[in-house]
Amino acid sequence: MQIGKLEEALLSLSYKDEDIEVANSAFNTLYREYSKLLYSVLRKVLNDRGTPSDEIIEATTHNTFLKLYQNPLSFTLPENCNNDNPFKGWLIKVAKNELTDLLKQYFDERIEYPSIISDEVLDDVEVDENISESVNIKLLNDALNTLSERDRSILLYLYQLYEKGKNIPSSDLDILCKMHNTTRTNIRQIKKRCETKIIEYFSKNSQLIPLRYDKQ
Amino acid sequence: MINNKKNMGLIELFKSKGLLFPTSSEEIIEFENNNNIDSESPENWDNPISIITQGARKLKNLDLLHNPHEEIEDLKMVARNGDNKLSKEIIEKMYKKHNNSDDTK
Repeated sequence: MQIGKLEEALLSLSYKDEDIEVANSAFNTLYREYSKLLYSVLRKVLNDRGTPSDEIIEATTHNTFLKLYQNPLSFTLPENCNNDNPFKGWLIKVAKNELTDLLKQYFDERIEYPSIISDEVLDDVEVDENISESVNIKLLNDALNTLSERDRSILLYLYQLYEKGKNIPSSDLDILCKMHNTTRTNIRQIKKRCETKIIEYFSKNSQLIPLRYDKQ
Repeated sequence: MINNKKNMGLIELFKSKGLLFPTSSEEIIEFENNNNIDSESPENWDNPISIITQGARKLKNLDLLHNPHEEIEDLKMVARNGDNKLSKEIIEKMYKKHNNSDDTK
């Protein structure tokens, strides 16, 4: 969607108390422009985690658009922006939070958490730049496919929770433990095991550029 | 010569290829290039406004704890132990699973 149209639609939503018909029309336009992207992102994320569910995709998208309707001006376009990618990114972040909230709400009603648990730091393991430059999406998928379905699901769930410089809330980790009937200690071990395996796979299979050797 | 190379984190690497939630412009472009977004059929496509009238949703009947592999292992164990108390439904499941496996060969 063009930037001008996007701004106009968001502004129309913010004036819903004054002109509900224009606001509803703007909402329809935004939904039809961006709902397929959200469905696709959520489907991919959930499939990769090994927990595909239409119910989660529908509820998450539903609540994300409801948030947009209720508070359209919580998104601000960056200066000198020439496409709607920042809006897409913002919408995906809202959806990510909605997904976590929905799962938390669901499991909170069914699981009793221990009373005091601290949040945890999730370290991002470094990959040598020579390797990371030569890794493509196929190699990433191939590396993931060397893991068991359960390990892959746990690793990707952890990675999707990751935000640079922030701890993972204990309740999010507890949901993961409950979903896979395991403990935090095991989760840590699984993460370590998977990362070692992935990096080894990269080292063996990435097309590293060989050092030039000139014969004299 | 100063080496400006900087190693990348594994999570950042996954993210840069559009495998986690894409949020930056580059990640979104990568995701859109690798996924068929137009094949999706959002449930409120014909009437998006119904979202507002319905209000916030909750999850009701998730089946995330269900592990089909565990179930198959259980069935195998029952078969090995010669338990003849299998219900018709379970036997049908076993046949279905068996036939599906054959289809992929």
